Amino acid sequence: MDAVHIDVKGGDFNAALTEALAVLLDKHVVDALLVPQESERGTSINQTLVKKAAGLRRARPMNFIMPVNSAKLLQLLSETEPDEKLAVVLRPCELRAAVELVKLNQVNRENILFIAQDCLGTFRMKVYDKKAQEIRKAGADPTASLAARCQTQLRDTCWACEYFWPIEGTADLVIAHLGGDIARELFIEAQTGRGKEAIQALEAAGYKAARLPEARRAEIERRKAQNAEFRKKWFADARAKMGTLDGILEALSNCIRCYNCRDACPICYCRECIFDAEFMKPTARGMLRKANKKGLLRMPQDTLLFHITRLNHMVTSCVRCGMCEEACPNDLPVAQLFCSEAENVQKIFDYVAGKDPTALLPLATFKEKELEQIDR
Amino acid sequence: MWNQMSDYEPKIVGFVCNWCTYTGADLAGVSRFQYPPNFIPIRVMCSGAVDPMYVVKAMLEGADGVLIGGCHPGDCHYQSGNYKARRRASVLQELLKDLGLDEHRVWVRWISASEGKKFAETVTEFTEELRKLGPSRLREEWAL
Repeated sequence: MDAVHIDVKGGDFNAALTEALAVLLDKHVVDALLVPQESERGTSINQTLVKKAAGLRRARPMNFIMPVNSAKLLQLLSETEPDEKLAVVLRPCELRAAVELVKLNQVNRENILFIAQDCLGTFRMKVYDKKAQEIRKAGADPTASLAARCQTQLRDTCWACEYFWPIEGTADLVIAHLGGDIARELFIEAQTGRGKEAIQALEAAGYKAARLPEARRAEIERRKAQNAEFRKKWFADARAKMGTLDGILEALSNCIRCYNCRDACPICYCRECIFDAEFMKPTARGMLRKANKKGLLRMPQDTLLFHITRLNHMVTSCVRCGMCEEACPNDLPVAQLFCSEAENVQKIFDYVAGKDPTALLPLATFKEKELEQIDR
Repeated sequence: MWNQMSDYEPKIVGFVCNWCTYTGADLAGVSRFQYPPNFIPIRVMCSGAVDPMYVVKAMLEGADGVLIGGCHPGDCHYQSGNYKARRRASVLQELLKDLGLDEHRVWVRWISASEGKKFAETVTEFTEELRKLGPSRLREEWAL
């Protein structure tokens, strides 16, 4: 596949990447760019929509936090017919969510160029905020300094991540660094025809053709094995904690029904969630009737109904980005629960959400001969 | 215990499809087949229209068992609704199993419009099974 080499000077891989992204705008490969940029104070990084290269002021295409799953933003941008070509810089889990949302007819793949990266991992936002402030005080760039250090405080979801690089054939362009030294060099590889056009524009702008580091595969396998080990423990812990009725009720007992997990979830895309519907609102009479029957009633009620229903609706497409847990004000282990269930359920259908754009959604298809023990 | 469970009678909520299982239930009645009165049927147009939430809600509201009844595979009035119901029910059963919610209380059965006998037998069998399992813990659980 076609790829170019990007020289990183002084360890500032984001500056080098920004230059390359500016080429895509300048040469009109795309009309707009969705790319993460740092806030003025440097304690946060958010996606920004950029029309002109001059708008790339503090771009941090590769970084350590994820305030939203960008696939949600792509859905917003797809709601009205976009007539401009858009490129978007995504993490692997955002890419997988985008692939699922394309299948769910929520993201318009036609006009969007997916640029995905070998992920650096992410911190919990509160943790990042503190770290970034300290590093800024010392006069350094948080993203670059963090990349140089061994990371031990990444989110559990990141440690458990199975696909931390863009799965082959899902993105148009891949920003690769695994198997190389990110402080010295990066690579951008085309994986589709549209990606190739972008690579040609980069080559015309003076970037040298290259091949991805030979060691990339081996490095991916090494990390994959390492993450698999964590994942196994994490899921075993989930089963131990939440594998019984008492366990799950205890684990969810601090749920305040704010629905943040639903709102942060890239897969929960319904315009009107059934839990917002008028007929789902409990009546005083209904609650008192239940309290009378059982002697007492936890309030607000229906916590388990909400979480099991949400699980049923999104679990076949869950990409394990962990935004649910990040959004939870009471730190419930919802990502741990949903990720382990996603693994169990998707296995039934031999499906991995976001892995294969051509694989049909498990609940939108069927085989005549399958699951035949169900009526026995 | 707030309710005395010594006189326990299983409560079954059934989501039955209009074209097959509901008609089969009707036939059971017309044919005067005897079956336990523990079954509360809810007619739906297709087993594929049964959102897992209905099933979970029935369980959380204290049903001891839930039956999803549809046409035999290949016979769906809407071509493929029952195949999709089968997938959805599999997801639901996996989740119930993993969360300690006793997936054996959710049954999926294909009962055609001409199988009044099978309908009566299924309800009898399910009632007996639930008698053995005892009342659902969710009946008493207040922290849902």
